Amino acid sequence: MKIRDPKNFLGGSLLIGFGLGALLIARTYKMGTAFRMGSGYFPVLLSSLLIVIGIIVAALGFKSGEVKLPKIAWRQLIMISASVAVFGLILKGAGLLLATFVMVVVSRLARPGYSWIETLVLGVAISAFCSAIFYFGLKIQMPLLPKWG
Amino acid sequence: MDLLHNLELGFSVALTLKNILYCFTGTLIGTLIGVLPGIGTPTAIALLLPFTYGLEPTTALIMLAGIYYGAQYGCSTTSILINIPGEPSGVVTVLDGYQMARQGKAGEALLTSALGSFFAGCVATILIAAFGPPLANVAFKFGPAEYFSLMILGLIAAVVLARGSVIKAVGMVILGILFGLVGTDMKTGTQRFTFGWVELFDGIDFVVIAMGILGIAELITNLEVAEENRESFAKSTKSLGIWRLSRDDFRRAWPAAMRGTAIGSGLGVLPGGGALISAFASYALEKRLSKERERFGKGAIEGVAGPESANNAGAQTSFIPMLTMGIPSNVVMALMIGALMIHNIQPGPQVMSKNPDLFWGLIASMWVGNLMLVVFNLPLIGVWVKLLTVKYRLLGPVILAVCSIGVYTVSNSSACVLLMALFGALGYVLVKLDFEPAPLLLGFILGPMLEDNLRRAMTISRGDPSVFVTRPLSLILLGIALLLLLAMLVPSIAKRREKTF
Repeated sequence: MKIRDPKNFLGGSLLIGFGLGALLIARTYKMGTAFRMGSGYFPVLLSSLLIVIGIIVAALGFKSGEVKLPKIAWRQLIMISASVAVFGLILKGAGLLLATFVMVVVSRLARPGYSWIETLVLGVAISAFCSAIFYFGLKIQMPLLPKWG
Repeated sequence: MDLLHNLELGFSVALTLKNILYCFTGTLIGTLIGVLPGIGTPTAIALLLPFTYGLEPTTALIMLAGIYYGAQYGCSTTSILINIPGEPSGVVTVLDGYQMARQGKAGEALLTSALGSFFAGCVATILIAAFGPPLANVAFKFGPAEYFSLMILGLIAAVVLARGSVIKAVGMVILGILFGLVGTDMKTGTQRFTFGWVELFDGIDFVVIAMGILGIAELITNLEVAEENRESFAKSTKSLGIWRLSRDDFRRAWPAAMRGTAIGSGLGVLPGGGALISAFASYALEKRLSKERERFGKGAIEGVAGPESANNAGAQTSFIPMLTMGIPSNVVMALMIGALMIHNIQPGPQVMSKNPDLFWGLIASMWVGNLMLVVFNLPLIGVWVKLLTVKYRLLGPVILAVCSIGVYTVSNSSACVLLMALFGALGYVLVKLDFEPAPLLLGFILGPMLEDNLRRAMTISRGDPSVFVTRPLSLILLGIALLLLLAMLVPSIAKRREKTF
């Protein structure tokens, strides 16, 4: 048996993973009966179904066809996710202006070769723009400036 | 003629200078807020609700309704331009609208959306005036079993609209339903899949999952390709000027808009996802009817015209159950009921007889509002399209910042932002593995309702699952779902046979 379509094989495995995880957790909830369903009835049903479908999809990976594993752009994936995550983590402490600035700088690391001056100018411009819309315009409750210092 | 009399009364209320002004303000604010991803209609209405306290109830409701469909329209704009739906119904618009934008046809897509919505709005207004009261009774015939079957139909429609493999789309639907179950179980109070994380007790917000899995994932994909090699949105986009559809586009779009309007008007009456399912159903129908099915998902104009019309017709007819029965069909309607209550108006069958000026005035103002939307959005289309000519290395961070701040405002918590980052990464991996995000999102939205109606139906039938096939309406809905599924599987089976034999 040779994996001919890694997209299907990995995709199926991903579904199986989600299904198994959900099933293990849902097992701890009350099942109840079809007449009076507990909180576990529907999730257990669904996650079992998901595992079955995951197995079918993964099995398709052994079928005919030669598909290459897609290339994952790790740098872009990590930097963009990280920029959003960092923004979320520091917003309350650092305030809107600084958090937005940091997010822009981190997100620009997603591609090599961007000019630093452009990054800094862009960071300042976007922070100012977003503060104007969200903080001053829509009056959304969030700190504007850092708490410390 | 009741119909004419009703419409006349309605327009006499809607066309007072004051009401026109508030209708205009509402639609304008709605559109502007709608194009900010993350600030959805509920947030917009909640933010502006206090301003309506001082107004007359009719005027207040007209303005709120204006915000509602203004935001709906604004959401189509972001769906088409940057692949980010602000509202659940935008998930369908994304499929072909964004592809059209990538091919330099953003202006055409926006125009189709505006005209389709306007057409649907006109028809829905007349329909409500003519059949409003009897239509309201349809919803009474819908018990939990019927709703469950309707949702199954909606989910199957979501599978139909997927481009790739059917089985993978089914997997996405189920995964979506599971994500939808995260949070406190309404019936038993159990915390499910929350990992003890307080922020998850209320469940995951639609905006978080939609912006992550569609918006952020698309951003990562776009940055993957170097700027020079990236297909430029603007390359073939016409310069500013008058936007018009080619004869070919128009020929494809108008029948789709007609069918979409019919579906939307029918399903919109049903509270709980009716309007949303109509958008998915319309897309599935257009794809089935089309002779060139492979164009769908690659910028088919029918895929924008149908669902956008269905969505707008549904959004308008969903006022019927709200006004006549006091049943909110979504969060926005619930807020509107709140606004009515503030003015001591109890929604119910008596609204039509007791406050005819409010009822018919609101309905007439929907038409006025839709007209305004078209009038001031046509020139705006040029501005939106111009936005796409901005280099992505500059535009990308702006989208990122606006999305992140928008998501933060959903519940004023960092947890939402972190979750969006996670869903962004997941969305990127899913796309790389050829999974479609749209079925996942529909599963996510319908999941909780599906479980709720399943439970209720089973409790009423004392645990007997045959209830879904013994009730005629439910049986019909399930039958349509089965037909859809079979129609989809048969060609692929037939094709495989051809290959093996």
